[in-house]
Amino acid sequence: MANSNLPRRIIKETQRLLSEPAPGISASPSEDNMRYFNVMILGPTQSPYEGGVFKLELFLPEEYPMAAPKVRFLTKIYHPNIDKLGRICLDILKDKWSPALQIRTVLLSIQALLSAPNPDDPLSENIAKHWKSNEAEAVETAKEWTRLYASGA
Amino acid sequence: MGDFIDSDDDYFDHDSDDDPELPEIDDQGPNEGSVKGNYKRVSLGCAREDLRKVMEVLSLKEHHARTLLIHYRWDVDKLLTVLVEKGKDDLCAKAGVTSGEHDNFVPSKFSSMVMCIVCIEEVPANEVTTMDCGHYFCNSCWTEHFIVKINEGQSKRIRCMEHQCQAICDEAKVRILVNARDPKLAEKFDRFLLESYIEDNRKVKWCPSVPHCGNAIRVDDVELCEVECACGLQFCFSCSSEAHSPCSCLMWELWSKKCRDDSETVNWITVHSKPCPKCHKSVEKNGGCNLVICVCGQAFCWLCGGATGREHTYASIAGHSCGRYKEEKVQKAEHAKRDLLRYIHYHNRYKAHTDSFELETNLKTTIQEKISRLEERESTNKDFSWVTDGLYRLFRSRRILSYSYPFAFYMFGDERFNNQMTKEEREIKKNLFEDQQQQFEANVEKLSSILEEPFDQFSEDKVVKLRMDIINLSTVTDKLCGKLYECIENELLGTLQWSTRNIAPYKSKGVDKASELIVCTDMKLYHTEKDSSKDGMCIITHMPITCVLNLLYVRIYFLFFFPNIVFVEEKLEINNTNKSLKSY
Repeated sequence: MANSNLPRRIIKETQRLLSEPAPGISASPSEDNMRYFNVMILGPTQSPYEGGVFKLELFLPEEYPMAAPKVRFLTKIYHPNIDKLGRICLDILKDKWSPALQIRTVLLSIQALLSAPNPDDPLSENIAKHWKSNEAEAVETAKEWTRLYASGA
Repeated sequence: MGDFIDSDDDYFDHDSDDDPELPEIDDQGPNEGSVKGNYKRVSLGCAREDLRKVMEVLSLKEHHARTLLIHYRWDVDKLLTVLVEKGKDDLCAKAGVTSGEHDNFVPSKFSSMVMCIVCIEEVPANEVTTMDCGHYFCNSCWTEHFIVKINEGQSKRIRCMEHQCQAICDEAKVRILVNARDPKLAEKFDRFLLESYIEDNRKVKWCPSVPHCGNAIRVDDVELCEVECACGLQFCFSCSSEAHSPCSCLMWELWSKKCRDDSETVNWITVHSKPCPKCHKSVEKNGGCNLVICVCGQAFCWLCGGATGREHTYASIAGHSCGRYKEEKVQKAEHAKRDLLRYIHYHNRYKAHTDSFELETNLKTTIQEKISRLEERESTNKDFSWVTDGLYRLFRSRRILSYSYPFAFYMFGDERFNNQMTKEEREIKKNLFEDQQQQFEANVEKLSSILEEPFDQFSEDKVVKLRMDIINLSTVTDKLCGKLYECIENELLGTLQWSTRNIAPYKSKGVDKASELIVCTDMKLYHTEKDSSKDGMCIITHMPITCVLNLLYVRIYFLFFFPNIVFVEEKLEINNTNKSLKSY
């Protein structure tokens, strides 16, 4: 049902995502629901997530592109803006969403968020506190989690 | 989701057709041209004054002025202050108003096809709309965007679709595009915009009457005040509940809550009874030992509430031991009992006066009858304003008297000001207050009783005497009431540091009554005389009830389906949370 009447924009975006994937990001639609994407993001270099492969799910709601896609981490990750359910605190996924943005830009923003955690606008209070009080230790934990949960998909 | 709202619209529309009290305003003022519906016309009129001012000062277009005013909550003074302090560019940028220099910008004049980056399609250039910020997208995408935003309740500030563009979309363009796809939604959009004048404006409030009289009231001075709507309801402008001075808003909120849930009774029950561990009924101990047997037959220990066997000795209960009797509990019970008695005392007085107030309301008709009977008599005195004045004084005083009891309950209770007064201080203040209150009360009762005299059967001389008595008593009562307020404001509240200590001041002439005043040609406003100065407050009248109900419905609908929307209370200005949808 979801595949019938799929807007042209979604088809085009999907084609482009598959033909020219952004570096370190792969996104492919699920076979039975073209609005559901399996996403993998490589941990950016020089971040505590380097070497990790993070799985995410991305869903395009009915109103897309007027409403933001819904994205969630499936791989456990130690990050002040991502909670234990994998929900992401990112402005463009909430009130700053613009229909001019695309799946690609959203995923690039998430990748950037991994490089630059923002403990001042936390989703996970405890991790943010950890990050602010002892960044070196928090980064170690993030690396540890990357090794434990995100190595080799 | 559109369907959901629409169907309810129909329901309320139908409802309102049968409502004989629904104000008729079709015959008022000139037509607004393209704008349909009474409600809009009236509201547009109210907002127009402010709009015009801003448009003139800043030489802006109407929709830009509206965006600015919505951003600044229709506070023209504040807007102008920002203008002076920060300049026009900053003022506009903050509110999402762009200068409009791209107004006539037509994308790619030379090619007939343009790329819309939202749907990623080539579209004919004439099917593209450019906003004031210069960003253009195809009409179909814009329309989709607007529909989603209107349904999200964001009509007042629909931003441009471009990423990080803060510009607010031109309402005229929104209206045209939405109207082409969904005329009903376009109407809704208009309504949301217009309602903003009332919803977002701290100087304007809906009359809280139920069923709603359709009026909104505007005051010029947002300080604490009580107002009387044209429908007769007196209410507190800051908390929108009934007029409650000399209680502060918080006191009144606590008191009405207490009266509603009888929390003292509940309190007493929790302290003096225990739920049976088997049937969970409340069980009161009627003396004797700590083995209690419920009507259901279950035995349990009074001390810990646990089920026990039925046998006991002086020292222990069969199959049970939970330690010794606790002194603390006795104290707690005594405390609860004292609190309850205290509450009952104040509540009884409060209730008695409210009841009297209601009974005295009937006095109005009887007195009117007596007056007309006297008027028929051949008499030298044809002026009976002394009776009506006296009656008015009685109503006014009775009201204040009844609210003075909940005031005293909180003022001299343990809950609120315990830390700010010593016991002795409190006792002194309490006596002072009670003396004033007592004198005032005695006069109110006297006034009440002489107003009930069958003066239509009196001889001329006796009527003259009664007239003197009533006039004198009214003056004395007024003075005493003023003194009571003086005592409250200076002696009691004046020394405290409590944010809610502010109360609406006493007005000898009574609550400010909104009177009719024609301000704009296409609307009806009311205003009050405030101590002979002009422009006290206005009533914006004739808001069809359907609109209000619809609005309420949309709110509920949003709460229901978008629970993550935050309805934020604006603490400084509006106490009623549910009145304002502020952020999402």
